[in-house]
Amino acid sequence: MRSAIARTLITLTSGLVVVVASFWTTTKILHFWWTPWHLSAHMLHITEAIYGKNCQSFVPPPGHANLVKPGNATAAASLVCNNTNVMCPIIVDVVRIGDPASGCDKDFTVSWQCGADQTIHQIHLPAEAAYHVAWVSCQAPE
Amino acid sequence: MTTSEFVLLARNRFERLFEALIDPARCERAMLLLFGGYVATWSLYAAIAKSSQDIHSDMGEIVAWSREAVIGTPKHPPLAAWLVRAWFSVFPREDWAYYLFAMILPTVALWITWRIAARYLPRDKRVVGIALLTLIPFYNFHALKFNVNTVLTPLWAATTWWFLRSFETRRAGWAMLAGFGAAAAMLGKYWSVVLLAGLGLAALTDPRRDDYFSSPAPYLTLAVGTILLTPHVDWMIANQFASFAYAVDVHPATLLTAARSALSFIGSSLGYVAVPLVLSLFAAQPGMTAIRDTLWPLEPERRILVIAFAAQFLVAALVTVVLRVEINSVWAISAMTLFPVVLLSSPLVTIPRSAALRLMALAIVFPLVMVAVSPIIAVVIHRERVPNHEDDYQLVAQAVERAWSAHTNKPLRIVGSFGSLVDGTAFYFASQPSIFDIVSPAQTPWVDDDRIRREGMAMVCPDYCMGLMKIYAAHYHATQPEHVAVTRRYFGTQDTPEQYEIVIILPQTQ
Repeated sequence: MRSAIARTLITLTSGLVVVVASFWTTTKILHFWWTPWHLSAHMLHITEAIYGKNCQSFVPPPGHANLVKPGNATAAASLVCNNTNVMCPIIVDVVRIGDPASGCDKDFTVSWQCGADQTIHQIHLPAEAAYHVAWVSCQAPE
Repeated sequence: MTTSEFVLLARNRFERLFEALIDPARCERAMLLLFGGYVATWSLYAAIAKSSQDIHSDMGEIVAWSREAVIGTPKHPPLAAWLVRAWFSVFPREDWAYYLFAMILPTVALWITWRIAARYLPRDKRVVGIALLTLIPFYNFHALKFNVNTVLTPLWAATTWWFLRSFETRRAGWAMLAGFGAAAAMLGKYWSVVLLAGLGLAALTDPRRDDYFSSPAPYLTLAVGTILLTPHVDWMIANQFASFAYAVDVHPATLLTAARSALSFIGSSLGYVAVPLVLSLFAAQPGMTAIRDTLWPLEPERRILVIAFAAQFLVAALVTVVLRVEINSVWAISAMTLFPVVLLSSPLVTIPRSAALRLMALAIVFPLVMVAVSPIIAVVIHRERVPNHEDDYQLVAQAVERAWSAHTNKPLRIVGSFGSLVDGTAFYFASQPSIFDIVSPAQTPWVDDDRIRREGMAMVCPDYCMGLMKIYAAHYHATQPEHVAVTRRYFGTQDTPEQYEIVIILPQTQ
């Protein structure tokens, strides 16, 4: 039994060593010829989006839970706007985000950064924000 | 000729074909000819049945990626885009050519199953196995809508084949091919991790595992797979895992909905194989001993097939619950390679010759019947319409090209609209422009602010995305909206006109 476990561990370790060594060597060779491509400094990056922040202390009707939490819309907003430098519309799509507090009119807040700049930009849509559009951008206003 | 004479003639022809397919000297050539006919028949079906609509937007999206992608796309790994780029560098950019390409993929997978079956099935059951597989809609109806799922069908089949050969022979050539197949499958879609985990599980649970893991074979497989995947992984790291995040974030679920989705995936997969399963049960009429021997064979040579086949579904269910994502039943499309081999490999399962003949005849006649009814399907599609403006893509592309050339003689380099419309129309533009998703710019990162200003952009929208389009139009000082109504004419009848607005952002270098 013990030898079987030892054999399995040796096999797994050997496999891991092969994977790491192959990856490391190939990466070194790749980077010798190509400079790795990195995102432009002016790209938009969503830091947080929250739907229903104003409903955090709301007590929903029986049978429903209050699921409002910070970042509940970050994934949806990131899919739409991350890594672009074009002005970008975030539609508050409740089908994708879900309804975190049934019975409460919810607002929407999205925060983002532009490239390496640490400044946090923010837009707030008042309740009810469902299907309204928050435009985010890293461009200077014209 | 009377009906009975016709039936007799057909039966004789099928008898002769069956003889050829079980004759070791003639079977490979006969099956290759049948596969050629299979591709041609289903491609013809698609060309006719879908002649009243345009290609699916997923197919257009991959064409759009093929113009941009190097080692990654915003949604998926790049292999499908590479294949499409290679295909259309040889074939004309026509619907029929795309359907032909789409049908070649499942047919290659069928051929691979035919090769795998040679090792595990007697000749007559090998023919029956392929006949049964063609009755699963994944190998025809679903395959015709080329996308990142359908591209996996031959890739998973090849990886499975090469892995099994590598496991049994432990030869370096098969091992390297297994690594190549694994990398190709992962470059098709990250979902292929399900296949690789399934094959790994099959190897680890097999009594012959010590021989395999003490040989260089698995390490060669790992090394080749890792080397081929590294450029994409390197790209993914540089892009903050955007395509991987898409795979996880676009199908979010709670623990409960993920579990429901996993069960539904397994149930739907059973539904997809129901017809061949029932037909094989009728044909073989197996007893309980045969069923038991099919589900859990005593010989390790056959048991590894069952584990490799079943593990794909179990790992899929596990991944779904662990990652809390919803999965689509169509994602089982690539998991059927071993289905007929598992179903028929027990020596206790016997198929009478008459039943085998009937199953083969059914598999041959079915696509021919579909071709015969394809004009009716086309008319019904035209009358009922298709979702997502799928019957307007070509007409909209033409209208946009006209509007662009009325304003500038510069080539049209960027077209903007919302997801399915801009993906679907991409295929039909003569100048093969880049696409820009106005609803989700992150999905078209090759278009940036500088490109829009420098090269200009044509935007088109139906009424429900005009609000967004007008804000872009104002921001980039576009031309006044031009209103167009398009209507598709088919066999003398026109469908209801669809309204679109087009705006042109002129290039700065005008």
